Amino acid sequence: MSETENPKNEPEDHGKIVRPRRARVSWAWFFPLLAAAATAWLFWSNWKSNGPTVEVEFESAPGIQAGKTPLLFRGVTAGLVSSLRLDARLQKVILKVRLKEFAAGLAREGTVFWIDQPVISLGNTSGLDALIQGNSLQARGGDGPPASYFVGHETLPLTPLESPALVLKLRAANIPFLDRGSPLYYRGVQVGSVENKELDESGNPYLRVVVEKEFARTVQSNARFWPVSATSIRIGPGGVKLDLLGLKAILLGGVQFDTFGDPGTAVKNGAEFTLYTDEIAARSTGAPVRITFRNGHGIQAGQTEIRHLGIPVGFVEAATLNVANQSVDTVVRFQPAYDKLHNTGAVFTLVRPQISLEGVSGLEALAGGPYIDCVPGPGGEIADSFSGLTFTDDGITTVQDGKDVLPITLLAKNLPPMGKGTPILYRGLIAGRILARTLDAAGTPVLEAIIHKEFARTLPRNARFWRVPAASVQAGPGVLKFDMPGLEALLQGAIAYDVFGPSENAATPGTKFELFAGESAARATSPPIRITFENGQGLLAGETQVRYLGQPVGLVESVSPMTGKVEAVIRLNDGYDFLRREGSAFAVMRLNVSLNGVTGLETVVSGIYIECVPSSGGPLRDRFTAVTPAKAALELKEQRGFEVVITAPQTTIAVDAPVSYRGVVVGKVLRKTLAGDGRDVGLSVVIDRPYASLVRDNTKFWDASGMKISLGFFNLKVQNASLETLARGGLAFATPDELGSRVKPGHEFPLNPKPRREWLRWAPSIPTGN
Amino acid sequence: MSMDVQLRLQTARALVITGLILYIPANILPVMTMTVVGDVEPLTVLGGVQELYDSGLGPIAGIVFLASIVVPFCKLAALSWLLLMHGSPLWQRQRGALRRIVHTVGSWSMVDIFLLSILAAVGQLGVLASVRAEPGALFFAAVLVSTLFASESYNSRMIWQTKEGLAP
Repeated sequence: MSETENPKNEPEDHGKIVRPRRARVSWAWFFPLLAAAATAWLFWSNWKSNGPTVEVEFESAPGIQAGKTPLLFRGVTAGLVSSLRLDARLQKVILKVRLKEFAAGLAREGTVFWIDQPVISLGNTSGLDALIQGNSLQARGGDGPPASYFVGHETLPLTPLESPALVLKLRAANIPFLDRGSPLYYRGVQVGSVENKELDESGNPYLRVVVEKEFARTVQSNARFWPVSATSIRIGPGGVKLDLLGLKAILLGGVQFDTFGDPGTAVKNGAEFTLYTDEIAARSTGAPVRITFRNGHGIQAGQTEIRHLGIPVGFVEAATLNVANQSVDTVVRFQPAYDKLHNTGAVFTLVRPQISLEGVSGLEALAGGPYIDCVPGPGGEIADSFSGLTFTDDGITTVQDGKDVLPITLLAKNLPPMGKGTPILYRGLIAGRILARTLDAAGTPVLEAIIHKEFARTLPRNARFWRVPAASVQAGPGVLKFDMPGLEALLQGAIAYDVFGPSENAATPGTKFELFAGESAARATSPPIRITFENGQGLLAGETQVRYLGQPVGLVESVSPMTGKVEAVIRLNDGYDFLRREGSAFAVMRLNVSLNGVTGLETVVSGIYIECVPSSGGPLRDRFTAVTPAKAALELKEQRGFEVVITAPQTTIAVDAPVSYRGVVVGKVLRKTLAGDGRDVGLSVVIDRPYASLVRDNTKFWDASGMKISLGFFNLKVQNASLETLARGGLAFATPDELGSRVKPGHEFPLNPKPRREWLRWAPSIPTGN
Repeated sequence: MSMDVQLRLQTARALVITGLILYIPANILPVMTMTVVGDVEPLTVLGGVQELYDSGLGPIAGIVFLASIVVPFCKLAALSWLLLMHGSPLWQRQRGALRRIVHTVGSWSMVDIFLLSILAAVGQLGVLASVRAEPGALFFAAVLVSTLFASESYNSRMIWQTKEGLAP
């Protein structure tokens, strides 16, 4: 303020002279104070928000930038990487991290630092945010004493938020497909995962698994661990079962554990467990049982199962070779529930696939490997040491050579190519087996066989054994049958037996039986019948059949040529003895092609056979002379027909010529002989039984042979019955309307050269048929 | 008159001191944070210049460096010198010219803050990119404002005042 002059020159000046106040202070000084305060506060708060500085060492620190890379703890920025340097030997990267004040608690021993970077793997994809935000340093809090120097983890811990409650070691002989990140399941719930797969000092692999805190109590001291394979396919009689344990398990497999039996105690960190090979092995927690085998065919420790009635009850824990005893010692464990199965007297049999012998029973072992079958004893104390049996050829003897089987001997001229174990079938059931092929004292090859007890009563002394070929083909007109008695028999053939005719006494141990070459040979049980043939062409011992009305009833047993003839010995099946009555006709049926037709066509396929035409009665004979097939056929006809004799001085009508009534063939010329004194020719005519009533004492027979050509005024009529009549001639007959009386067989009729006109108009009503 | 001069002088001095104090946090603290596809990058003024220079934008880096660091610093230095020389009969003409230049340049000094405010308003592209002003910008603006008022309160007439009174 300065004095001012009054321009209006006022008379009074009331102003006072005031000394200037030099000490006045501008209010603007407030600003520097404020600025200083703000800056000071800023620096102070910045300094205060900084916690301790820690150093973390890494093998490498990709993507870490000093001053920029944050330290994240539970997703919150808990610090900043302030500087990066290499150690003196250029082996490590050392990160200096300034923690924030609130994160000072991270500077403790046990804190895990790792660099979060994108990891894309089958099991765990992590750090995807690092793809866009850049890598960051991450930490998981520890709870040790304060520390300031840390060694960083190169990999992401499986439980990034909290340290795992339980870290376990699982030991196994080998650890197949499990790897870091494979899940750990408890009854299907994931409770942890495999952290690492490592080798201990002695080179044995083990798995480090971590169990999450909330599930730590599920692990008990007696927990049993086993790997669950990514996928398991079980093929059994029930079908195919495919087990999938989730997508993750498909890729990584997994470990499952459970507690069997009594609950155990809680486990401590770092406890060691055994990783069993599979669930069966893991479940078998019973006391060890020692079984000694003479041969350890395919027994695998940790894999071979013990089964009782087909159900797995235990597994082989260890199998060791005992050189001194020349045996295989196995240690097996049963599931607790089945401990009672190994009592005194229990039988353990190693079952392994044996296609040749056990075609069916060993098949499951083919897929699942051999197993040990357990049959508990009748009762008694639980034992822990057994002598196991091996289900092999010798084993059969061992097991079955007791009271339960019936040993028999089979004799054969030639032993078929059948080995030990060949089944013996009774009506399709396996009744026994061949044990050995040997020579008996007399040098005859014999088969030693056993018949199971339950079949012993089906084996009387007169049972007949025969070979069942591996496969047989039966072919005939309209029939083509391919017979395969089963897989086992296909490979090896089989021996079958049956009883034909009434059973005799049951066989006793050691009974000798003959082994026939085939079923038909075995069936032919009658005494031998000798038949002499003029020509034995095509007769095969053991092959050629004897048939009656087309059905096989016997077999040619042997064929031996003699002077001027061939003698065949045949045997007939049980129940066909009537075929060997005196007067029976036996003829070799061969393929016969004639104008009359083709006969015996089936012999082209089946080979020739002997047709038998039995006579109507008479005593049983055992020697016959064969006749021609035609004769046999006529014999058969004769038996069934009604025979009359037509006499004529001379005729061209031949044997087999047809005899017709009103154009219908009702009979046949059976024989053509000279009648009586030789002046006449006698034609024996057989009229089929149904038509016998057509022949009366006033019946007229005439010669119907040849071609009838009648030349009329306008037409030429050629009448011919058939091609057959043209060649053989034929007979025709007619009976007047006034019927005569029935004639007896053998009645003679004269032959007229041709019919009279009125004969052809006769049309009597005569019931035919039997 | 003398009292008025005294007050103005004090005001100017106080404001220059304020500017000098604030100049330190303004350059240490980040003025803005750029987030480009998740990459969070807090930038100080000098950092921004460095960033520009590293990106190969040398000339622009130069301009920003001049406008944001050199010019405010020079203003503060010039004002300090003027105030220190207050009352001195020396270089009065040059001091008058310097004050004039400072005053003229002062009207352009807020261009950084202006740019930052536009960037922060426009550069909001959601997750992809965002720009956020940081406390440093406030300090920076405060430096500029205090120099503006300082140069305003110390008018050119005062240059010519000496202890002996106004120069002839």
